[in-house]
Amino acid sequence: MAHAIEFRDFSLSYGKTPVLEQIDLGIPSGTCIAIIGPNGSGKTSLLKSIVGLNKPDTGTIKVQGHPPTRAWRRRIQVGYVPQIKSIDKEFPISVYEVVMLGRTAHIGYFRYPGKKDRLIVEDSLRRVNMLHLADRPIGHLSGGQQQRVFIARALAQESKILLLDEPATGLDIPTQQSIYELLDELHGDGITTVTTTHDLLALEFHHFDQVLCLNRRVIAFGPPEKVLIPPILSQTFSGLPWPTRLSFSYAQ
Amino acid sequence: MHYLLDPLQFPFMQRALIGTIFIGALTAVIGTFVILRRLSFIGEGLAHGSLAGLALGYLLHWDLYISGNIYAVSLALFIGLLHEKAKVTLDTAIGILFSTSMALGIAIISTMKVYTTNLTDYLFGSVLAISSFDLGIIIGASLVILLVLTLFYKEFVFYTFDMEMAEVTGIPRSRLHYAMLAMVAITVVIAAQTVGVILVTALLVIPAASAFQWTNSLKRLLMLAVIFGLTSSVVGLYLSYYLNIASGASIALTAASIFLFSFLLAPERRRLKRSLGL
Repeated sequence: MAHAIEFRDFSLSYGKTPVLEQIDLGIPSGTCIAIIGPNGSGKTSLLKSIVGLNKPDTGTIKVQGHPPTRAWRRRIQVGYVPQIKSIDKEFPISVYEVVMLGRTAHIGYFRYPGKKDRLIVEDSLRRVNMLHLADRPIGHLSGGQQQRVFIARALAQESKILLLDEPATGLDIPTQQSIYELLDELHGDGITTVTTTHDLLALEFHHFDQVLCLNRRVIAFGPPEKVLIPPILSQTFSGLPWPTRLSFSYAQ
Repeated sequence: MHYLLDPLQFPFMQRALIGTIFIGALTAVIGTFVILRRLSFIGEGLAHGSLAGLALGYLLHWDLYISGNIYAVSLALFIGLLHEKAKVTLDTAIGILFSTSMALGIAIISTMKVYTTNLTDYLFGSVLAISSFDLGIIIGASLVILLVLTLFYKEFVFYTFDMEMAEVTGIPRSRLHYAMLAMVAITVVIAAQTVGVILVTALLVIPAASAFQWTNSLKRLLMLAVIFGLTSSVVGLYLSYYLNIASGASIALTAASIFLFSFLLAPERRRLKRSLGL
């Protein structure tokens, strides 16, 4: 199976602080991946590297065979949904317009959105159950609703790869579930999804094909039943307590 | 009616009116992006920093307008570069460079024997002194900047709303950022002709901020800002003529009145005001 994303001997540091070390990893196309690790383990940095926002010290990343910063020129879009952050509440832009931003590169310079773009935007909003709020200013929505709008924007990019950084954090249970249902749908469409979480209970809500245990290095990468075992979790979370209920259920 | 037409029998008033119309529209549009991108301080900084460019131009007997423009654009790009390469926030980079540049300007001016009227014109604005050549630059620069913003409208909106995601989807964020800084610089120097270096922020910020009180849509915001910018400029110009006060002051005060009016009456903010008990 071809790799959607491939890391070769990848290392990254911010100044003198190493963030990621010697990452060698191939993420197969069409799989649903979870990245787990404690805060500061480099999960977000790994995702930002895939979209070209972080430049490696050594090593390479290839997205569908191309380096990330060039990938977009070949119209290989990687959908990226960052962690919930506070946005400018007063910014004069509607939900619909935010999702249309995801179409910017497809539309191209000196052009306006066409019928196809509008249909894709509507469809993306429908998939995250936000179409009824399309005309609202983005700043008037709750954090969870904004998160869904940003997922819709990533969907509107029509990318084969979707990265979600802590998509469930801070959301209520029904919203979390709807996000995991969406992951299943995307999986059915053959889209590679990479989701980070520091919450191991998320792995009980949803089945991921493979789990990457990250703590600056790759501690383990494999199917959940092989990876979510006490020795590996203990190493990933550096001896911090992880939810025992989870380790118990997988241990059985 | 003759109150409106009478002043226009003078050619300098005709040039002043055309100049302020273009400047009013240009500052309103650029000002909207400045407010949304939170760059208000850079307008102020570039205006004051450009003093060194004007002083240098004066010293070397160059055209003040052109030397001021070139200097301000270089200063803007340098601010962007310092922000990107040194680990300082944009505000800090502006603070460092504009004060240094202004110090340089003051140093040059203090070596001159006479405090020249040309330079005070730039400090306080002298819309009535616009020459045909100045008018050409005002119109040319306004049209070019408005054209750039129209052609790359959706890219600039993306960059303004969410820089990081714009970069992820392949928008050349860095180029847009430097282009925006350069356009702000040119706008500031051009607007300094009417309102003066000291009051340039008024035209840049107040019409857009007033429009902000009325709407949640960016397109309507831009349109309203232009209307308010034009009104401030033109009304301010006539007030300046009839009351014999400095054009910069009358334009800035007209803009401020529009803001006060908008703040008190705009429906968009009424709910907020009610919840504050106002």
